[in-house]
Amino acid sequence: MVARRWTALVSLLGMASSNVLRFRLRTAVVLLCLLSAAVPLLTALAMQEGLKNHALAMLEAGPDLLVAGDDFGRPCAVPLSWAEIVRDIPGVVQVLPRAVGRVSIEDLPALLVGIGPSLASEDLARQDGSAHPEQTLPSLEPGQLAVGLAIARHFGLDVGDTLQLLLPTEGPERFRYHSFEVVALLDSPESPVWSAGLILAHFEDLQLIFLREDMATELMVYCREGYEERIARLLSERLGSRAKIQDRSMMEGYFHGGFDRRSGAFLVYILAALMISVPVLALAAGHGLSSRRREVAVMKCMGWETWEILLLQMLESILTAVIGASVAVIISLAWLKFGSGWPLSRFLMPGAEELPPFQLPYIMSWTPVLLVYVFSLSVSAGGAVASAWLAASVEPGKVLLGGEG
Amino acid sequence: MILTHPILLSLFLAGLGLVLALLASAAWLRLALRPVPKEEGAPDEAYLVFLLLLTAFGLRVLAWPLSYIALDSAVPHVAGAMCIYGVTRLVPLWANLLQGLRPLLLLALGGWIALRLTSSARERCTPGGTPRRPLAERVLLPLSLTLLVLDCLLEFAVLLSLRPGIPVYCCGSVYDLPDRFSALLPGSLFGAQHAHLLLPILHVCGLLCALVCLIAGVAALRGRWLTHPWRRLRTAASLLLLPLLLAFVAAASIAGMEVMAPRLTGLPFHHCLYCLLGKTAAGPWMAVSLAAAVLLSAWGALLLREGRGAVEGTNRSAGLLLVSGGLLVLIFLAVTAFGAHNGGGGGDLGRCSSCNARLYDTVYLVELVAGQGEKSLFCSVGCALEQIRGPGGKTAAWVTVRDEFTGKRLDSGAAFFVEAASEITGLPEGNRWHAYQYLENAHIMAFELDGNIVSDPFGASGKEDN
Amino acid sequence: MMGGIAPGKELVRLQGVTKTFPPPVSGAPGVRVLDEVDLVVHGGELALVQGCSGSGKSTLLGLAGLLWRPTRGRVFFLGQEVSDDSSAYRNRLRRIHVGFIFQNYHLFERMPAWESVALPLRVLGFSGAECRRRAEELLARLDLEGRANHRSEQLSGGEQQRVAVARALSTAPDLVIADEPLSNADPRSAELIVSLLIMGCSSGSGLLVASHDQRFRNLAARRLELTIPDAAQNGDFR
Repeated sequence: MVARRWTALVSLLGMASSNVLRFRLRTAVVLLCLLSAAVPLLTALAMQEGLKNHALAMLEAGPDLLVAGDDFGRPCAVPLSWAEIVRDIPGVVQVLPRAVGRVSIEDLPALLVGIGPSLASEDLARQDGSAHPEQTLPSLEPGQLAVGLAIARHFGLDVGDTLQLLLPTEGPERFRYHSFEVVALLDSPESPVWSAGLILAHFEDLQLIFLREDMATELMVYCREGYEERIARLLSERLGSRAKIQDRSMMEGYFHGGFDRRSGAFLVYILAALMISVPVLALAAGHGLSSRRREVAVMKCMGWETWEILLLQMLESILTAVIGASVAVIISLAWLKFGSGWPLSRFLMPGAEELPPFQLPYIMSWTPVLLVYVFSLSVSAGGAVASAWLAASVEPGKVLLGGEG
Repeated sequence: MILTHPILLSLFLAGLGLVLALLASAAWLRLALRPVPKEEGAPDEAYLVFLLLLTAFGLRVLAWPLSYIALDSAVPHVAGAMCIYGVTRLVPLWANLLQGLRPLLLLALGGWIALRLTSSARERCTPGGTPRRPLAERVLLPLSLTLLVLDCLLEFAVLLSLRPGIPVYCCGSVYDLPDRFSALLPGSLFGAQHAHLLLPILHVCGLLCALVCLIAGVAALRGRWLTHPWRRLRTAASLLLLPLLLAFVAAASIAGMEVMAPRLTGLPFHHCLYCLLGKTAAGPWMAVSLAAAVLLSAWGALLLREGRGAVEGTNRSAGLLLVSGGLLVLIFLAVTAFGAHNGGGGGDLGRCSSCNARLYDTVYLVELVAGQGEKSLFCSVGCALEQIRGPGGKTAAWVTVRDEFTGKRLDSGAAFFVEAASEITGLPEGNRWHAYQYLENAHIMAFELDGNIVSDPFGASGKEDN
Repeated sequence: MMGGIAPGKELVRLQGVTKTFPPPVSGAPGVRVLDEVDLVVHGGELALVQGCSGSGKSTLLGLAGLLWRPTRGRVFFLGQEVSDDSSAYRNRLRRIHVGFIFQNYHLFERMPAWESVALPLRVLGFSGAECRRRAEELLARLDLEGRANHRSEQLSGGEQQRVAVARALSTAPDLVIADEPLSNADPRSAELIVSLLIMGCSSGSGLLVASHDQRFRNLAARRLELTIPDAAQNGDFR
């Protein structure tokens, strides 16, 4: 009897799946509704997770402390002489000055970065023996550049080409073209996202370009593990209020803040999808209700009970939801793999107006997948309640009298 | 408020649940207040209540893990929070109420649905009028409706009250204290060495539960409860199961905090259940199997108790639920046993350079970088010291240990070491060293471990210290 | 076989049943469709119901098929009174013991013929494979071997009617209730349907048919002529 009960349930499931195929138009409309909400949701979540992870990994591999100047509460450049003060603090492994400036190349914004000479207190090797990300960058001579992939693709640049930058000058003309030779493309697999719109130049070039001799935008400080707090405290004591010191947790906080603002657009989309999906699905599920009511009346004449019919219809909506969520996962994966999630990516990455020339990082972890299944199941079940009840509440005898026929 | 994708979805589910609960309440009231039965064949509101509550039940089941995912998604926004516990501190009363209410709701609502389904089977098999379902209709249904409304409202209250920027205490400040409640209770019952007894107690409780479930379930499936001598046993089994299940949940919670959390998170002094749930691979499986085992067994016991009419169907449903519940209890026990055995973090990192033991990513791991950048890994401070001090010992340029409270990597020069009176279980002989990032923690643990704070043992072992 | 009632055993008995439907507009008087009707169907016999349109033939079939409760009077099924039994219990009796053939076939759109036939078997707990096997067997007996996978709209009127008959007989019910089963059937289909129904009768099933077809008139053991209730001679047995 138990086996028969299970067989009945399996049999109901089989009938539910054949009904899903039988009411093709209704299924297609419901699936379309689900997919139009679930695919962007899942793609955005996977991309967000990937980008966040990537950024946090970069932060993790980056400096332990950043020392910038503090000018009336705003960050400003620091004198290079500070690097020696920092290096002499016990626990500091290495200090790297960095100059960063924004330029526009024919309306395309780019970040110009130069890494200064390293001041190592003990050893260039880190405690775990790995190199700093900055050490993997190509070494440049003055007049040479390494450009990110997005910039290279935009201007059709390759190694050996010349790039002219319109840069400020002290002369009366205020701006002048400077010619640089492209000696490398920044196509590191570890950081394609953040280096795409970046131009790496020689540190001295940057000092000249931005008219900041013996200055750096910030000092990147690498510490022995566990010493960060003490070093930050000593730096505050030695440099006083002139310095703005950020540790990794503060950098993570800034990152999260900026990232959450950018992903806010998806929240609005999801909110709209959630508000609209249930009534839309309720309408879609009601498609062909009159013929469904006739069928239900016939089934009741055969001895089907109301709860069995309700169960059948709930199974149909669960099946549709599961199919919808599974198809959404496949489409999202394809979109991320072959389309880098574009144009959704532009909401999450500033400057990603075009299809990125590299694979955007994404993580299809179980959390966003679970969210999409929950979303599909909840809106599908919520939307099917009314039509299920309207269909199941039909009187069986009417089919004999021709009322539902 | 803090708005993330999971929070938004949780709010939506709560809203949908509330609408369904209100519709079901209205239909139920209409049904209850109707003086005479409706014309036969006409649509029956009882089925509408059933449909609405079945949908609501499914949605609340989905909402259970989602609530934790939603709270977890708020962790980066709450200053000081390291896990879900920190987020719940923003609204401690409501969050605790919600967490307590949810299993009760599923227990009551699931019980009502099970009784409703089996009484439908009873109606099909019995001539005469519709049988009365006093427990289902008079107790469980109004209780479920009330709990459903409260659950949805509480979910709204908790999620809408989350505000960023309010600093909270993290789980370590509560669960890592020596006088935490999960240590006080077993400590008062079993003495100082209670930690070794918790896992066996859990397994005994679990096995008893599984045994009663399986015996009662199989007997119910075979229809044995219908004959006279078995009837009393049925009542006894259904009455025995409920306290057994309560004891099992209590034992699982305490063993989870005292034994599983430290082992699986790899932090020997961290006893947070939320970290066990959210930061370990086995945590969610343990939670799901425990919840499913307890709910299925409790529903089975309820059906067994209600199956006094000796009607075809009722005992079989009870039997199915009980057998599934018993099997899930066994699965839970297997997961905990497997987790406890393989606890201490994932990832095989090779073998210890000194004792050749298999290495896992635990808080006892020591990394040593020699002058030329050559890296060696050791299972413990003792092994690393033995390698350095032994014949032909290495000269270390860097030695990195882990903070036993957070797992964070520390240069040995920045760590505070405690040499304990007793050796660390599971590590090679002679290992008494513990490392901490903060002096305060080292003082607490020196007292707890009956040890002394010592200077960096690697400082006098050839390591060039700053 | 679901049923297995001995031939001659009383299957259904309506005793002085009256059926009044609620009015379409509240406040108006109810619509009395049947008035003090008696009917009995035994295993292995054919009972024929006849009457003009609106005389309550379908209502009578519904009462005998346990779809409705009578407003007045008593209904016995397999010797037990079921007038006051729960809907679920009557549903179970119907599921196991009764098969319906509708005037307009009422096959489901886009459903393959075998699935239509298997529909009553699904709720009885038969596996998909068993459902299919039984359905194909029945379809073959109705000369529809090659049509098992054809959807209802791909079948002719006569074939649809035969599929509807196969659906009603799939559980081998003790009582087959047929409302104008030959109304749209071509002569060949009608022959097949009649022969299958009669074969069922001879193996012990009862047959309650509302039809004006001469073949049923000739074969009927009992006949009930219904008139519109206001007329005096409602429920006249011959």
